[in-house]
Order: sequence, then structure tokens, then C-alpha cells
Amino acid sequence: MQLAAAAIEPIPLSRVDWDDRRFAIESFRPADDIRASLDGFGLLSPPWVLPKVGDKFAIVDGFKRMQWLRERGEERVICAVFPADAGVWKLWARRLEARLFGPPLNTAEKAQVAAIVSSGLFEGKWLGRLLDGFDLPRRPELLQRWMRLSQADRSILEAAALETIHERAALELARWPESPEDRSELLSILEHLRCSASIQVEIIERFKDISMMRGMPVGEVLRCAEVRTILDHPEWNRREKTQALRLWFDAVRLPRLKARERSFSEQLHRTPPPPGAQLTPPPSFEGDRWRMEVVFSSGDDLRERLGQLRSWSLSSGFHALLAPEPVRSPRSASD
Amino acid sequence: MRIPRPGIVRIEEAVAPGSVANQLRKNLPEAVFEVVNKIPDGTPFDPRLLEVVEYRGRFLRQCPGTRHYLCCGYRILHIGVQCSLECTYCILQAYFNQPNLRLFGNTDEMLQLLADELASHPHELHRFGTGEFTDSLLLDPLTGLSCRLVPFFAGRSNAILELKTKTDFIDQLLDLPHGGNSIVAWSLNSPTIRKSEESRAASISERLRAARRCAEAGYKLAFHFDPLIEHPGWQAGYGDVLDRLFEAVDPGKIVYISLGAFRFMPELKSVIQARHPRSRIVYGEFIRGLDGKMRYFRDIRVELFRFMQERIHRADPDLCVYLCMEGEDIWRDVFGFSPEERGGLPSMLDRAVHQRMGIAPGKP
Repeated sequence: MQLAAAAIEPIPLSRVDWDDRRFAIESFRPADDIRASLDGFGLLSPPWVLPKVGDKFAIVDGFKRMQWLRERGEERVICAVFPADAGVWKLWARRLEARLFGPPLNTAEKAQVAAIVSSGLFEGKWLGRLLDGFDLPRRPELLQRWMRLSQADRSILEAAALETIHERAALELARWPESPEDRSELLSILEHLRCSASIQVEIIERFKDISMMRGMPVGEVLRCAEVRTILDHPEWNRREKTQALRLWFDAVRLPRLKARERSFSEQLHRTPPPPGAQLTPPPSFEGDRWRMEVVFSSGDDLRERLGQLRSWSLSSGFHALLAPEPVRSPRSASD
Repeated sequence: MRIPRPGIVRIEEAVAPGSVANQLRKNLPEAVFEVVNKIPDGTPFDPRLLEVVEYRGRFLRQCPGTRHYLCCGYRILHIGVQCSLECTYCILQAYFNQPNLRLFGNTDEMLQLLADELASHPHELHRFGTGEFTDSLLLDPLTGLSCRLVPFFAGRSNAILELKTKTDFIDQLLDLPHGGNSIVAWSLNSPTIRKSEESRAASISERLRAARRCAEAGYKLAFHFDPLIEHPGWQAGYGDVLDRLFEAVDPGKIVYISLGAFRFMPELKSVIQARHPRSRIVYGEFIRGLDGKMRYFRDIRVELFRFMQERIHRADPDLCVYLCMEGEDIWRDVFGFSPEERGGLPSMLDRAVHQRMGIAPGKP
């Protein structure tokens, strides 16, 4: 794909159309680094511009540099001026090609690029090359999630660009909750807890689960007393708050499993195994693979402990541990 | 019930002269027929499209059980993929690579493989079914496939066919020479779940009416309460369906009833959320099972299964009720025994077939 060469020539800043941002890929984070570079070295490469009707220029590449010059009160800047008939597709192709070999995009920039490359401008091998190059998914429904993120609230894009929320969490937040207030509330919780990507996604998912399970708006769940008590706890650090929140999620989502765990624990307390032995049920009591750990110091010690274990394994308390009556649904009585 | 008829039938040229393609041409005069060299996987979803391909994979398969849970030993006769009933819980939604309704047009080849298989193991009972990757009867009025399959199985001493459906498309079955070797089976659910999660399928009444007509035509029946879904009023809902089932058909005509609690691959959750945002089925008390699928916490499953088996056995104490993909501990909690104590689950079902259908292969 050939694009007519740009002419390197000075243009007056007064002729720049600052409102024309059709080629902008906003970074959604402070431009401190680039400003420091500009302050130290000035322009290292000319911004790209496209002549418009009315004797104006649209910026194609170099929005921050142009803004820096504008703030310094410069009157002219040397630019790469493309022919007026260069065509949007070719300019975007060139701009994105340059980004492919530049510094990695942040999540907000990546979302904007997803929206551009899937807007119909690119097809076939060009589309595939750009999707792969920017590490974007090829499956339409997954790409759709990136496009949705490009249209998300500014606060979400800023948090994603600054990596206070991770990419996966940003993609989730862009599609749920539906109300901007609830999204903002959930975002502030994630920013407050500053946890890993997987836990951020888990938190979003769990709030949705509980909202759907209880049939109540997610805003009510986000602002409920239990959640507020955890988040506003004066002595807990963010890790302790995250842990407490996850335990609360489990207690709400899995009440019968938690009841079973409590009853197992109580029963074990009433009928403890011999000293040095520890009984562990299958995870979530699923299946029949129980685990017994025995600590011993010698052959004689082991034989003695195994003898005690044998007696314990014949007791009614042990059988009650392994096969208790299943916890019944709280709904059963009313049905 | 009515379903939208395919508007475009795309056929691979290798199977264009076959019986499936010919039946479709006859029964879909209004459709556009396209013959192409090859239909690639990944063709974008088009609800009007029906693909007929030359299948090059395994027509005969084992039910995809796992080593952690007990499988019934059912074998799959693979006739096609996908279903347009769009039940919210359906695993077929995750088959992104083949999103369109697809039938296999090389039926002669399939029947030859089947004949060879039955002949090579004459002393085993082969329980085959077509309802694993599609609904057995959804397109049957258009393809007439059962008109070849049912007579194929008729009179055999070592094989039965199970046609599993959520439709009431049974007219084409009624006069077939089935020889007592075919079971027509329905997947059933509570009226609430039928309405919210299976809204395009036949109503419970339509399914039971169809079952009664099949029984009157001499077919044996089976029912699958799978997926059982815990929802407010589930006991009343499932109890009501069981009452209606045993009013509609003589329990003696039923060979077996299976029970399976809702389970799903974790990846299916986001698919269901995206495609069926009003559905609440993925928001239950699910834990990760030994096979990696999400399952209700065991005590919930036990409660669901106990309720169902008690109600079923109230109607017919001898009726074979089995659990689909459950462990021995759950079996013991529900039934008081594990299948291993009775020769294994496949043997239990073989015995049910023998007792209720009179079919058993001879001794070697």
C-alpha cells in the first residue's frame, strides 16, 4: 500500500483545527513523560497533518506534541503534510503501522485501536495483521468486548490506562453493570482494593452473581451494610479487606456448603481424631476422596497412632463425619 | 409446536444425491438450495441456514463420560450438530466453530458402519442414541431419517435406538415397523424452567401427548429430567410434571428415567450471560466438580435426586431410575446402593432394556 510522500514544511499553529480528533488515540493518562522529553529535546520528529477545506489542518499524529507547542505559544511547527486526497484508510494504516513498532499500547489505547480496525476500514489480511499485531482477538464476539470498552466511561478508561484496574477487569466493567453510578461504585471498590487481575474479575463476577441470586439491583449489593463494613474497616489493610470480601461472597453464594463446613468442623471438634492426625474432606465435599495426615516420629510411634486411628475409624462419630445427613434446602419447607 | 423452516439449504456435492438431501428438496420446496464443494467450519451463524455435509469423523461414539463420574454406557449415533431450540443451558452454544444447523448426508455410510459394529459384537447389547449433539427429531419431519433408522434397528436382538427430543414431531414415526427396538425419549423439566429456559421447545403437555401417541403405536418410552434446575418452587414444579407424566403414559411402557442436575463448563457461563441475559440458571450454589464442570453442591443434588426418585418409585417401584454423571457417594445417598454393587450402571440399563423391551443378546 503506497501513500504519496508527505511534504516536510512549516505550518502556522493558528491553522490547526484543534477540535478535529478523528485520528486521535487518546492515552487517558498524564503526558508527563513525553512533556519531559519535549522540554529536554524539543520535537524529535515532525507531527503529521492533513490539509482540510477552509485552509485548516487536521492532526493525524502528534496530538500531545502539538498541544505542548500550543501551550508554549509557538507560532509555527514543521510538520509532515500529507496530500489532501491521501484518504482516511491509508492514513490510518500508516498511523497504526507506526504504532505497531512503537511502545506497547495501554489498555485504553488498545480498545480505541480495536474500534478503529474493526470499523470496516480494514479487511482480509490487513485486518488480521493488525489484530495479531496489537494482540487483539479475531473472534467477533471477543473483539466486540474491546469495542465496547472503547466507548466506556472515561473513569474506566483512565483506570485501565493507569493499570489500577487490569485489562480483563476493564473489559468486564465495560459491559456490566448497566448504570454509570453502579459502574463507578464498582470501579472505586476495585481501585480501593488494588488486587490482582483474576481477583478483580472475580469480584465483578461475584457482585453480579449475588445481585442475580438475590434478584436485587447490583447498586444495592454494592452499597449494602456488609460490604460497607468490610471496605470501611478502620484496621484492615487492602489485602485483609479483599479476603473478607471474598469470604462474604462465599457465605452469600454458597450458604449450604458453608453450613456443611461448619457442621463438619463442629462434629470434628466433638469427635477429634487421635493426636497427630488430621482429617481433610474432599474440596467442597465433592467425591469420596478424603485425606488423612498422620504425623509420627518413629515406627513404634506410627504403629501406636495407627492403632488409635483404627479405633477412631470404627466410632459412630467418625461415620457421622463422613456421611452426615445432607443439608436441606431452606426453600424445601415452603414448597 | 412450530419451528422456523430452513430458508437456505447448503449441501456438499458429495452428498447432494443422498437420501437426506433428496428428502429436504421434497419437503422444503420454498427453500433455496445451494450445492457447494465443501462447507468450511466456522461459517458465520445464520438462523435460516441448514448445512448438509459429508461427515468424515466418527459416526459411532461413546458417550463423553469422565472417569470421575459414572456413565450409562450409552453410545452416540452421530447424525448432525446443533439445534435451533436455543435452550439457555445448552452446551451446543459453546460450539463456536460449527454454529449452524448441520446434518450428515452420507447416511448409507453411517448405516454400514453401524451394521458392521453390531455384527462384530453380536453378544453385547448396543444402546445407541442420536440426541447428544442435536435434537433427534427436530428436523426429522424434513429429513425422514428416522424412517431409515427405526426399521434398521427393528428385530435386532443386540441393539436398541433411542430418539431423544424436546419436540412433538412424531407423526412420521407412528406407522414405522419399529419391532420394539426403538425408544422415543423426551427431555422434561418443570413448567417454570420450560417457560423460561426452553421457550422454543414443545410445551410439557405437547411432549406428553406425543409420548402417549408413541406408546399407543407400540414404542417404548424414556424420560430424561436433565438438567434438573433448582429454582423457587422446584418441588411443586417437578412433582407436577411427574404427576402429569404418569397420568399421560403407563409407567410400564417406560424403560428408564434419568436424572441429571444442571452442570456446565465454566466457559459456558459467560456465553449464557451474553445470549440469555435474563436467565438466572448460572447463579445457583455451584462448585467446581471433579471433571472441572460447575455443579450444584452435592447436598443440593442429593435433595433434587431423592425427591425425584421417591416420586417416580411411588408410581412404579420397579422402574429403572438412574443418575447421569454422578459419583458413587451420591448414588448411595440417593438410592442406598452404588451401581458397582449391581454390576455397574451400563449393566443396570441393559437389564432394564431386557425386562421392559424383552431385548437381550444371546449368550456366546
